[in-house]
Amino acid sequence: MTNEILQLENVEMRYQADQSLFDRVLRRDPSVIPAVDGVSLTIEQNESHAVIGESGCGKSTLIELISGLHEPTNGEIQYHGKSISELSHEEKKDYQLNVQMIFQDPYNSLNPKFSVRESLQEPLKIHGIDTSEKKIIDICEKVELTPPEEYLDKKPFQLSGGERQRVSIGRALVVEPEVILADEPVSMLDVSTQASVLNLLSNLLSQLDVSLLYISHDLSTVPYVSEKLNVMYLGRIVESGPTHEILNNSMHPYTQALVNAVPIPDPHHDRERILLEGTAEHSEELMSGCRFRNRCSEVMEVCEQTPEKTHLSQDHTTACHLHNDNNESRVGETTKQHKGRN
Amino acid sequence: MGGAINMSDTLLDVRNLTVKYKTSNGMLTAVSNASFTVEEGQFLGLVGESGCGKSTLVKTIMGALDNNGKITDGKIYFQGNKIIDANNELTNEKGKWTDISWIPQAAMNSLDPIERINKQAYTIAKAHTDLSQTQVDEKLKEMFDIVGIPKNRITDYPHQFSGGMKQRTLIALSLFLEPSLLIADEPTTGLDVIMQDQVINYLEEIQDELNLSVLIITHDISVVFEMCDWIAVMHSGQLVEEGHIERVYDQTSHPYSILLQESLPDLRHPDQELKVIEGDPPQNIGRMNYCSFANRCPWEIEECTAVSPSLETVSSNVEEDDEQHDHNVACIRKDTVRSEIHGGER
Amino acid sequence: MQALIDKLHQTFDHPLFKNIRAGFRIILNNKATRIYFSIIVIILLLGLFGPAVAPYEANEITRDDNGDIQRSEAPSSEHLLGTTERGEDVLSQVLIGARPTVASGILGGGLIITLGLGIGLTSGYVGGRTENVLMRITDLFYGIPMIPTAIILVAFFGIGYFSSILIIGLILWRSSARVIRSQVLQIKEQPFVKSAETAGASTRYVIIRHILPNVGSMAVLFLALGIGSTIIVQAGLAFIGVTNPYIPSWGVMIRNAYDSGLMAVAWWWSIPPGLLIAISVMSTFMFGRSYEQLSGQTDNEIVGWEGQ
Repeated sequence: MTNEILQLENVEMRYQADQSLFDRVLRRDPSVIPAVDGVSLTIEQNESHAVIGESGCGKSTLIELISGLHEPTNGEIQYHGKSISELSHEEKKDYQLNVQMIFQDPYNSLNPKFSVRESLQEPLKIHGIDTSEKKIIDICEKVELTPPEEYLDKKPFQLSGGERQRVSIGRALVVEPEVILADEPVSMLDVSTQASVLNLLSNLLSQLDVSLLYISHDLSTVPYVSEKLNVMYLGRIVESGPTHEILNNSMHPYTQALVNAVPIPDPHHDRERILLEGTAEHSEELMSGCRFRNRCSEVMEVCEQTPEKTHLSQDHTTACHLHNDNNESRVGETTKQHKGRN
Repeated sequence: MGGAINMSDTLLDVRNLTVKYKTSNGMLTAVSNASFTVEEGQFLGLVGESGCGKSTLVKTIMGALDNNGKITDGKIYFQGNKIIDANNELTNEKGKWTDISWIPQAAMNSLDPIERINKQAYTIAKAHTDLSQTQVDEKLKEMFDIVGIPKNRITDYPHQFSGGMKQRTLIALSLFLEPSLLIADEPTTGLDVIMQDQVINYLEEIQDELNLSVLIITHDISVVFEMCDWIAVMHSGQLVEEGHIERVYDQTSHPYSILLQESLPDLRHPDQELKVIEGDPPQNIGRMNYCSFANRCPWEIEECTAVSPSLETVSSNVEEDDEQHDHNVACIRKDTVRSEIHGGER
Repeated sequence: MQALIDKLHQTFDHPLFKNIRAGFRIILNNKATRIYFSIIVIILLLGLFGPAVAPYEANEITRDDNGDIQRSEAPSSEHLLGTTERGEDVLSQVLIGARPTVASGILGGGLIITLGLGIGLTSGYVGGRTENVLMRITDLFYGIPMIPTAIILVAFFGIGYFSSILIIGLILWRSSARVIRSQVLQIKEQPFVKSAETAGASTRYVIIRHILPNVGSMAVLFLALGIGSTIIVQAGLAFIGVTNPYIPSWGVMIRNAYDSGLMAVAWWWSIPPGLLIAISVMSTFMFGRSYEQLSGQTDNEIVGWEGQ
């Protein structure tokens, strides 16, 4: 297929944990942290994907791998069918032009010494593209920094958080990229600012010919920017499928917990509580088997084995023994139990 | 404030509080004529965007106002005693500090990284009481139990806890001296949803187990709807709406509170369009004889910029019990707004 | 003509000039920096024009009407700051001595900041093995005691004005390198740097456009500290006689006053150079410090009054 822009195949990123002198003297094998562990994902033209998970699940590492800040220890990231580690210098430039990033923290994603104009010009300059004023004004209008003349000469400290994030988005879009990688772009904004940035992103996605990889811990923002959802836990994607389908019918216990953790702005609503204790942390025991089993309320014996990806429908998959074909008989039972709780 | 309130149950009573900051552009009003109360056992959520004056309000209550800030009007009573008035004087200092506990914003990082939690607790206790380390440990264990951390972890160092646990440790630390009021400034900001959920859950548990009043300051109205039973909405220094949470939700009458709700994603209705609150709150220099929300308000009329609306009880034709009846709004068009939004239903 | 004007415009639109202009705006907007800056300008002018306006030569022996040498005379209308033991005019020495003193400060400070910035930037931004090697070298330099080394080196290479400055510069870069490195380590982790890197910016571009401007105020601070410490250490070296005594810097003047044994009596001789050293060192220190503070403030100025 020609419209696949990015294709991740079994991408792995293993870090070696820092070793103490004691461990080194004893020649112990360093413990390995699989920050990203066998992630496969395809981003097609004009398609948006969200990757959701709590802190420490590896979603930020994933974005760093795609943006080329690190190289995966295993697996392949392909850009238009070619592995990004094998790109020629020219192709690499092209890749860097076509994959742009938006960062989480609006307060340090812009150089404090740069005016808005300079920030917006930067990617053009780096790639030796014409930086005409018209282009800059156009992009300002696109990201709703209007009137542009009022903003172009301002420095970041004169802008509000939402305005800075618009500049960041503008900087990513000004080179007309194929994909935008957005690392929690609204998580540090006030609720009302968050709404305007989400609306902006969603408008831009419908107007422009651009794909998005959106990373967040907050499920409630996903429907506005992404039609596909991937839930990540400790390096692995545990459930993926169309956003609406997962929100209405989540299958993996972790996804269910994530959905339930989102507060509902209605005092009459008594939400079903699945309280997850502790945090997502890598440990020796979790190297094999289902990584969620030490926090899962549905844990079974079979969870000691790593669950396979199961297709629930054509594009809805999950990696959980509850939904494994071999345990099919149990599926209905546990879901029922689950609904009955609380 | 409704007259039905029995004064003996009122814990914190803020009356007509105005706080101004001296800036290079003139006197800036951060809190304008704010009045509210926190009753015993109440969970009050104070909501507003950054810069709306909610943090100033808390700092004023705690007597920790910045040097360029000044109380120009109003008084604050705690358990019936005046603690602060326009002279910035703390009149009843001693009683206050053990009875009100304050968790400042981003306080997680304020835990001493090289001291065990129970030692830090002892340091706090020593300043206010004459409890011994063993007594402190006992009390701390109780609190750890309530906030859902294993009791034996009271001797851990802060870095051994995750973000959500640190926030809960902090709640435990602020509660073991048994204050009657806990003020938490943005207790869930910066936490991911799972940790936020943990904190909310244990704060609710505290409400069940201790007869404690909590004042939560946040920009996230969903957190307030989730866990508080009273709400106060603040916009650019003015208190715009306050009352019992269900009343406010069912009969939201201030445009700002309405827009705040509609700007929030609701997982139950993922396709609902998000409303955006246009513009920025004004910098209130000089006299505040206007509604600070007027220039952002879709319902604005000429009068809005001519008078500063005061909190008035919302008339209601629904008969409910007394407590739930309390609902005040500061908007001259509140009845129009309410009937437009809620109509005859709900 | 038009082409020339355009060229000029282009040159002045260069980010370097923009940053310099922004720097001057900061200096002139604040009372404290304005005062320190004017003191520095006055001392610079002294260094520049002092020798030209001095009424006598530095080692010219003045005589009264009777032809007697005017030894250690108190200030009078003829000699505003009195004379030295050898009959030289103190005012002229102070004016002439300004140049080598200021020059030593600028040369030493320049050397310190060049080395410090170079090593700090490289080790901070490049990292890895390079960083390790450079930082261990820095540590090594921390172990070198200033004065004894100067004495020993002088024994090998002889006494000299420039060699004393060289020694100072070659040793004192160490702290600026270390601090600038840590600053760079922080800045390079900032998302705006990551953003440029992922967009494919070259190392040169990132250093010049992102890192340098953001360590700029720190560099100004260390330049100021470097100038000040060079002047003061050089005066110290002059005092113990480890520099060229024929170049009449203020340090040399104090040494001569001390050597004459008249330090306490001929106060007009020892106090002016001492005071001038103190004033110039202090004003550069204070200038550097307040400049650094101010430029940090303008970058991070909080929009509201209650920023989160």
